[in-house]
Amino acid sequence: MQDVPIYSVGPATTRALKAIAQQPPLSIFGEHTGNGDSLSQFMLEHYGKWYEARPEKPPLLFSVGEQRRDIIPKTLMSSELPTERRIQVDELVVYGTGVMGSFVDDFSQSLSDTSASRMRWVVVFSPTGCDVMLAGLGLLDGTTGKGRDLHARSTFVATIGPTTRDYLIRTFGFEPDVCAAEPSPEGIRRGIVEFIERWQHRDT
Amino acid sequence: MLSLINTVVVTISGQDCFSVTPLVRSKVSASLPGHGPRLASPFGQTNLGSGTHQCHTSFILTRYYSHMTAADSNNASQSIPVLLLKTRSSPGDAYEELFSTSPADGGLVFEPRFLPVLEHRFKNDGLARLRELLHARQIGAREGCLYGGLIFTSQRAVEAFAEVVAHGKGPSEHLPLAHLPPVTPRLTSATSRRSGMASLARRAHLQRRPCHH
Repeated sequence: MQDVPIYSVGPATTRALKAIAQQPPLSIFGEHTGNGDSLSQFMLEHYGKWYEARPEKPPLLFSVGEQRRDIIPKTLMSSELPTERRIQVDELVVYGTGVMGSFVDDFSQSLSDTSASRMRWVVVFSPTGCDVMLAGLGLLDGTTGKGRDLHARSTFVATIGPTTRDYLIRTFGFEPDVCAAEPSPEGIRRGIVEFIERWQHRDT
Repeated sequence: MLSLINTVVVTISGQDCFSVTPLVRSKVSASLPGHGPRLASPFGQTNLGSGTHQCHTSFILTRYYSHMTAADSNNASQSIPVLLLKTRSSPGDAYEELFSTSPADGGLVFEPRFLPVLEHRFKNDGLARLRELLHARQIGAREGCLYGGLIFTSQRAVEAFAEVVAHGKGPSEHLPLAHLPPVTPRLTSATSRRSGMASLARRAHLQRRPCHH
């Protein structure tokens, strides 16, 4: 095992790999690359040299989650590459992502804790868990949330980007109040602040 | 004012919260007699080893006072709870920092709170396949091995791999990784690509050996 290269996309993954105690240590490469695209280019060179003597490179095993991007297999197996450079990549799904069991209770507890607030926001980062969020807010059963009187509302919903917003609209007919123009803390905050300014304007 | 700011979110892992929370609670109470800040359930992923309680308590108190200061400077407006449906990033979370800073725009005071939503679970069939490959010595540099290398782009995937490796170390089990004898000269992540290639050339004889050696 120590005689094969293990590719890692960045510092966090590399740290986790180094924590696996092996004697001799695992041979880890690619920490400096930082993203899938850059790691792909690095592997084409590095793995190509590692198995330089072989006209056909042995396949690489890629441990992934259920949701993942396909940039690495696409780049390494590209039909545009000459056969001797091409690398077969087999994905192996080793983990999946679901809603945390504690989320339902955590969310309802937080709603109850903040129920006295004149205004509160829920910021959604992923389609996963949206059903629990809407159910907690009492918006799941056919209620769209659309066209509700803004003056009567105290809870508002912001999404990190269009994917989650579109999921909410498509799946639940719920239109969030804010969709961040850019998927960042600044984007979310700006969206919320601008909404509140407009909202207060309506009040006066 | 205190009625507005009644929650301090303690971000510690579920595993540690039971041992840490009472300590933190008592320290917070001792430091703020009569104020009685309420400690909410743990919402984050920060792992606290022993010996870091004091440091974490300071963090909580700093956060508590910064909330109080923010509210004091703006008595006219009520703080706005922001429920962030995500796991708090460790060590620092950019959302927490941004939503906790003093108001610069229209006197809005936010009160961020983290609610982790996503949970990652190992896939048993994926793990079984990995175990099978390791036990059969099918990941190696020898010709004939199914795989000549591994790719990891997420910590979760590494955790799954580590799980398989750790279970393989049981007393009655094979040692799929550790069992292998040292390859000389050995390659480490610290070794440069160039020297890696040089040693590969010197190890050419290994390719004629079966995977499990």
